[in-house]
Amino acid sequence: MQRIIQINIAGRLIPIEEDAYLMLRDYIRSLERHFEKEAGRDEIITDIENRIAELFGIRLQTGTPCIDQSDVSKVIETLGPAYTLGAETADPVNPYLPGPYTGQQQINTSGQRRLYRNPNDKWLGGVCSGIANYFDIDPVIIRLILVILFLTAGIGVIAYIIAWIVIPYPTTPQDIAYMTGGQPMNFHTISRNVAVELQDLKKRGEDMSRDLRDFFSRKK
Amino acid sequence: MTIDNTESQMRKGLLELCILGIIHREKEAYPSDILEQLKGANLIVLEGTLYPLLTRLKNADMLTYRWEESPSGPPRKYYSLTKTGLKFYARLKQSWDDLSNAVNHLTTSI
Repeated sequence: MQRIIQINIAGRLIPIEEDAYLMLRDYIRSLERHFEKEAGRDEIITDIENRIAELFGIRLQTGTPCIDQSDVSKVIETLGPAYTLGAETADPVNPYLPGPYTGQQQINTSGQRRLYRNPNDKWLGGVCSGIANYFDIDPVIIRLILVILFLTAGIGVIAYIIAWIVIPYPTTPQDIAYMTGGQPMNFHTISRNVAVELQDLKKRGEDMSRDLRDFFSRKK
Repeated sequence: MTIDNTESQMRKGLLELCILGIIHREKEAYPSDILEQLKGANLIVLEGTLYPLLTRLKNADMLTYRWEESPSGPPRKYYSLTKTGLKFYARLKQSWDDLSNAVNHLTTSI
């Protein structure tokens, strides 16, 4: 069962399934983070939202009653995941490669894996799911172990922070394919990583408190 | 080094020229229209790459736009070249012509 909600995107009312809405919201947030340092950030996001509205409009004209998850993922595929869109300050990422999630093994990693933090499934820094990914197990198990470490000696906190700093974040499709191979760590990249993560964390905190507020106000 | 990568680097470098070229030819163009032409020519794969470029060109005073209501869907931004943009385009086009001549000359077997 799915609840259908109405959203207003670029001044257009769109009926959309709740799951699909969450997916779309995450995508737009990832764009906001990606273009964070860009002067024209708001404008770029508005333009992209306009395009999304247009694509949804075309889809709705075909007689579908509402937008679902497959429609949203098609739109994301058309526009491209955030990190492929080349922000001014970003490392040179090839924006014309097709999304890495779809064509997974186009990039030959010959079965080799590297340890990265997982940007697609994260609570804080994506450390646990990155490790889980590396060993091909459920991230819940790693998180459980970490929580136990938290509770027993507090080692978990320090271990987590160190892992957060040391394990690189994937930035290119090749990285994702390897879950990925990185630049050597030095003081500069570490401090930059920390700054980026802090910003991201702040954003997540804000999002979370907004979600909580929404949740409680709905309860009342 | 893969062929895909090299090809896409080439296209990427020419994208700005092509965007300006399309707008120049059409006098005025809105993003979805530009996208269609770029996609038709196989110059762009991911639509999202266009919007940051347009905004940057606009912020660099190469482009300007006006809003226009569309018969269907949200209002459209119609982009056109500014004076600076026109000059920039002419120079870019000239460099491209020179470059492509030189490349053709070098890579043609006799």
